[in-house]
Amino acid sequence: MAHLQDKADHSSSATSMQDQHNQLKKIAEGFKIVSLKMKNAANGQVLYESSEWDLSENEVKDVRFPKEMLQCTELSRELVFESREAITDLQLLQKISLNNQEIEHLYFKFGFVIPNSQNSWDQIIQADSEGILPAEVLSGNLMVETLFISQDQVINRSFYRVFYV
Amino acid sequence: MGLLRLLRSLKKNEKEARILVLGLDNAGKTTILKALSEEDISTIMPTQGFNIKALVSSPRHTQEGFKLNVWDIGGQKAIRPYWKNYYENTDGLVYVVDSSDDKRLAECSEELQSLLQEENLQKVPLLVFANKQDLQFALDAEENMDNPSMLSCYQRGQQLYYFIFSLGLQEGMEWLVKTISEKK
Repeated sequence: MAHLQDKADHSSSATSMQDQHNQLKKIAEGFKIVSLKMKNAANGQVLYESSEWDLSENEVKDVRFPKEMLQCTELSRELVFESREAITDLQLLQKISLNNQEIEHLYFKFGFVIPNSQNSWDQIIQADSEGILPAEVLSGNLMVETLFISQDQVINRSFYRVFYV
Repeated sequence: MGLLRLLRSLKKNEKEARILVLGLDNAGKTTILKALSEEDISTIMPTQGFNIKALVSSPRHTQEGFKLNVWDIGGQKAIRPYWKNYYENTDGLVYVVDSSDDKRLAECSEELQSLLQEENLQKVPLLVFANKQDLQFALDAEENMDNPSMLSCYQRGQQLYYFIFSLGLQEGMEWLVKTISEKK
């Protein structure tokens, strides 16, 4: 009897894992970055704007930011995203590495995402008081890994190599 | 599981405060959010979800610099049932009232009263912002207060509250940040 019980539990947890997987797939399909903007926070000037932020996972993609961005003491980054599905606990994890060495990571918890919603996140990034590395050192050597996470499952993971031009 | 552990260790954040901006649709919540960082407010669309603005408050108003995450959630009727998902861990509440919309004043105060019943919003400092005072037919801030149903929610006692007259957004936000930082 105990044995049968075990078996039943096992199969129901397998089903729920399958459900979870399907749900995650649905979330990923309905999740879209609408735009990404980088602005000089001091005067609101838009330094970079992109409406096609590719979230496909398979390859490292290149992004070209203007050099002037490195001169801002405060940078404002505005990310607009859409979700067709409700997400219980959305989080963003970004890992930034220079020459394959992680130099910084950023974590933000959005929490609940309303189904069929469009949401924006505007964040002020302050430059390090010790000064910023020159563009020549950073350009092409800076890699940004971005993970969107629901609870502890990855919705998607993308890699961008950053150039300053 | 490595990922989850990393997330947990990152969650221990220093001085951060979460401010929630609510109110009926078209009250001006997103405009307020944008105005906080002097952004262009000429092309604002109805919010179909949330807008978050992460700001660092200047040390002038608090002991140390304070990191603020200001959340503006859409106010349309269809979205309001989702508000409750954002109450948890809120340090300050801003309730925006459209002073020129006298037809919906009752609805506006009903929503505010139901917010004040919420467990997660107890003891959270509340800033009521009487917006659109510059419009011709606006009720003045005192008139808003005199509305009997509006008033009843200010008489609840323990709730720390504040009422802002007309155009003092800056002043109101400073009060809110100061009150939060004293509580923390």
